[in-house]
Amino acid sequence: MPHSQPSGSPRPSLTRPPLKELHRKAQWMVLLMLAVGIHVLESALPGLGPWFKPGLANIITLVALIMLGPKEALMLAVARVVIGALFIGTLFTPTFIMSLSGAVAAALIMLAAWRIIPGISLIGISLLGAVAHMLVQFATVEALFIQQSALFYLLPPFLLIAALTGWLNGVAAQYITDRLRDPAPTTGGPMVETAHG
Amino acid sequence: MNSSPASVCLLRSLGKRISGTWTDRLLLALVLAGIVFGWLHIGQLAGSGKAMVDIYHGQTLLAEYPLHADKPIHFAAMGESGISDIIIADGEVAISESPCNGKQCVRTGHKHRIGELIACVPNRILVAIRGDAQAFDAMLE
Repeated sequence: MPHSQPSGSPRPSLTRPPLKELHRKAQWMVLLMLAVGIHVLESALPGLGPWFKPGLANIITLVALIMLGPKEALMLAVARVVIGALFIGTLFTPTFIMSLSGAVAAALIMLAAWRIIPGISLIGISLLGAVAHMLVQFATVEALFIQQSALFYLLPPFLLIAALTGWLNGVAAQYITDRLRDPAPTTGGPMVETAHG
Repeated sequence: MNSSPASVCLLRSLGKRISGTWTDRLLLALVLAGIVFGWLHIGQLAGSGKAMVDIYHGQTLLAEYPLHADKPIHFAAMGESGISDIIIADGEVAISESPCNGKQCVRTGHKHRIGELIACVPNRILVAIRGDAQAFDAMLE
């Protein structure tokens, strides 16, 4: 006996999600892969000094914030750190804990600044995110690993460099989102379609 | 030599992109002010006078030595994952070997100024240079 179904309503498991939703998820995956790639590449760079990286992957978090929304940006920040640590081989190490705490704090501060502070651009948002990232990393190390206030001797120079790289990352993110929203006229190439949250 | 209008426009456009909004610049000024204030305050915390090297494991002070000792000092600091070898010689301190994977503490190199430090986070070892004019509370193991 054939299985009967109400007419005109396919079973939920066979229903294709709306194209717009699929498009958003695909964009998120692309941004995540890009962020993971940058994260892994940065770990291989000698860097400006021990512990410190330019945080270029935060550019992708900012792009996700504008193009997809706050929830997607936060998920991307967390997923990037976890998957990146899996590739690098630092999952659940002190390095991973520092990186995750900094990334979550930076993402939350950036979301709050985006929502609350009037007149702020991605440059200012990135600046605050970078500063929050560095502060929380130091607080995490001091709380969990080395419980000495002497650790904060290093904080001012690291904060200064974080502010500088945060500003520059914000400039890059602003440029990228501006071009995604309003690409320069070409000689006939396809327009870039962006999804707005 | 005349600058072309196109290059002037490009520079102006670049300047506009980098400078941000008024809110961004205000935030940057506040952040920089906070950093300068913190730098001065932390400089006072580090103390002055004769330079001393404090070696910690977590919240426990393992040893303290003068930075400018007559003879080189080798100290084996037992941490979470093994021994970090610390050398104090010629008015400088460095971690020469550590059991961590990244070896960032070793790559930090030699330090010689009051307020400088070397940390091995995975091994929970901290080597800090302070002035003996201001002592810090610590528990001796």
